[in-house]
Amino acid sequence: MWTSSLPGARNLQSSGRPNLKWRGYLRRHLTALLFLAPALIIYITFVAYPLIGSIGLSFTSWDGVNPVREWVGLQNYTRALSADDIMQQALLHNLIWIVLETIIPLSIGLLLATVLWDGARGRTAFRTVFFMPYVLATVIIAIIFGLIYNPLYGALNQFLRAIGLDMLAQGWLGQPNTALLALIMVAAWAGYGFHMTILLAGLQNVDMDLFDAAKIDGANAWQRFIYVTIPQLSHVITLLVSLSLIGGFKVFDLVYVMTAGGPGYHTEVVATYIFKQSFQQNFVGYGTALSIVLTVIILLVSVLFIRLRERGGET
Amino acid sequence: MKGMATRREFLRWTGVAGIGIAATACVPAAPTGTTGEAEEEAVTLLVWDQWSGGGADAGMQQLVESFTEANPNITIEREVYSGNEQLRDLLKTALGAGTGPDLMYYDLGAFALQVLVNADQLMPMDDAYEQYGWDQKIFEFAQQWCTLEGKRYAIPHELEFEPVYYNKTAYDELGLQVPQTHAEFTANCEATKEAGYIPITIGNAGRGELRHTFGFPLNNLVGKAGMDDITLCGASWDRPEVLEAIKITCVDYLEQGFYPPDPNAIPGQDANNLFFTGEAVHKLTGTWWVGTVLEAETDFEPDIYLYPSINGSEVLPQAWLGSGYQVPKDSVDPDAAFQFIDFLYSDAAVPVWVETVSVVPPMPFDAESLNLSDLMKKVLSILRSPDQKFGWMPAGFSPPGVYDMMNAGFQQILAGEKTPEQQMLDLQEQWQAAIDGGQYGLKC
Repeated sequence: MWTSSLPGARNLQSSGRPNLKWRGYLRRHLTALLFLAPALIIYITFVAYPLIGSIGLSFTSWDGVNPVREWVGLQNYTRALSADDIMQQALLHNLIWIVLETIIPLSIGLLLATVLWDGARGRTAFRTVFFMPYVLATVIIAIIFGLIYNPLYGALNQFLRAIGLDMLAQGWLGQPNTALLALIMVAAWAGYGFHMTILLAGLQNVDMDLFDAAKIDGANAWQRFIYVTIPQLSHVITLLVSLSLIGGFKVFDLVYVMTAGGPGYHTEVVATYIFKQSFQQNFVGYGTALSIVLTVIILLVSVLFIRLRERGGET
Repeated sequence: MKGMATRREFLRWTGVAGIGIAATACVPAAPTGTTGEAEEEAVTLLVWDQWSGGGADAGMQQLVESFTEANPNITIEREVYSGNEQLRDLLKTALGAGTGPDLMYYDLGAFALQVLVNADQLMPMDDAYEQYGWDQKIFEFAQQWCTLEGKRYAIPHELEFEPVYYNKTAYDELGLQVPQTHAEFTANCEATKEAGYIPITIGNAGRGELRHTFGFPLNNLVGKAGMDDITLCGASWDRPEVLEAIKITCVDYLEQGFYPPDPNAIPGQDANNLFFTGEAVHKLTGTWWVGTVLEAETDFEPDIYLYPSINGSEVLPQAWLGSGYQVPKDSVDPDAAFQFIDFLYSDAAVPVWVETVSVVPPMPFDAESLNLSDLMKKVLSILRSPDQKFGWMPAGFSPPGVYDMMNAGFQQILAGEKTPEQQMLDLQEQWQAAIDGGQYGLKC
């Protein structure tokens, strides 16, 4: 090779190696990179960049419009994590929401999916009907249930009075002890159809041989459900619980439209509190810090849950 | 307060305006406030306003057409929003990004105006005030509210106060008289309750309406000097009169069964409907409701009176200025914006505002020639009464923290989980925090 006769050719060759390696890598993955690029650009523009910007904002006392953003260090985080009673109350409401919003629709969805899976007549029609609430816009659902819960003419109170349970008729969204639960019931109604559909899809993959083996071994229907069906649905259930976890932490629209966090702060959740702090009270810096705290909590809880599930799956 | 003295001069001003109208009628019509230079250049003004629905939108459109006809070089491009809340969420971002309107009709409350001034997003309007004579025309107290750090940043547009709306037909049927004292008012409420009516309708769900109701006894009990002291000079809320006002509206009326059941669960629109359908006899709200009441075409005769004296206190209706026109500092053509504003405050525009939109601009005008409903005539007669003093509406002037505390705290008292004493202290805490944090600019 003519290059070998030149002085310093070894150096040239060795320094050129990484370039060649890089070029080779590019050549091999060019198509994949081209396919990834649009999504990557969108992700960086609309997720990564704003997220980094938000982290910066959370260390300021910005009011949302002033060009000057005063640096306040960790003050917003200190307040959020130790001195803000409403934030802690809101977080507790989110946790209650997550627990109930996971258990209720999952239980109903599982029950319906099992019934429909067994080849019930009209299963397609039922599946469609049960799934329908999920396709409604949350604001529409909130308005409809606002009417149902209305203390003056709401269907729920009318029904209770009609069956002689007058003592239970009340302003469901205005009482501290019923408001949050009333909202969670609405969210459960809106979400159980989705759970059912996903579980129904999961049931298609259940190994029927295991089912038959359990039958031969004398397992009754309940035992087959618990020890054969549920374990085979574990991945689907993990997915649904993860979605409920994330959805429960970021719930906003239903609460804001139906109660705006009231009465008092009894239905305040972190997202409505962030909105109020940022846009109504003009504390955008603090609101952003709350958002970052919420993001970290969601991330930690989701990772923890998935890890626990994976470990459970391995054992 | 100077402003109130000015309002006492309403009649005098009205006379002056009457002469003005007569004089203008004798002069050949000329485009209002149009300068020769501006006629040369075509300009499009993007205007964000809240004149939505029925008469308000139609009235504003009528004014825009009249203005552009007289000023063909200026095109008004309106973007109509449903209210301050919708505007608030968009405006700050838009102004910060330089994509805001050239003129906007936006709230004058502390949460709105102050933050924009702090951020240097608004154009001071002092020169325009002098150039167009608004400083002579607009009531001084109204100018005072829009003056921050010694400069006027807005031109207020809605002079409004809060009376007691009542079902006059029901009053007549029950043989009730307009109360002169609070004891008589509560006796009327008792009588209407006995007759099967809901005495006072209120919807305290969501953000709630109690902050408005609270302002009625608050102003009467604290009095003119005290309310000016709080509103303009930042005096404390920690006083017995504030506590008494909270007790009357959040405890007494509830315990006496004057409100509909579960007021915390009743949305505002449903509360209004209770009045319109004749199920409730009283509604405590502002004069901005006149248009809605008229549109409702009730089967009974609606009327208003002032919330009466409590144990010999003043009768001080809470007043507010609603929203006002503001010019962003990046406006494409501030002069054209000022021209448009000047037209909106001209004598020619007054009939549209009062008759069609049911809004009373805070300036003297000839009311005699206007075709008004009885309700609107009553509103104007109260506003024009030379002896009538007006207070301040806490739901209007309060900074965001106090506003939020009124909403949540009053709901908590109704729910029986907070005392009026604690609420008063919490209001004061939020008030002081807003003043200390620069969210509320003092005006004395």
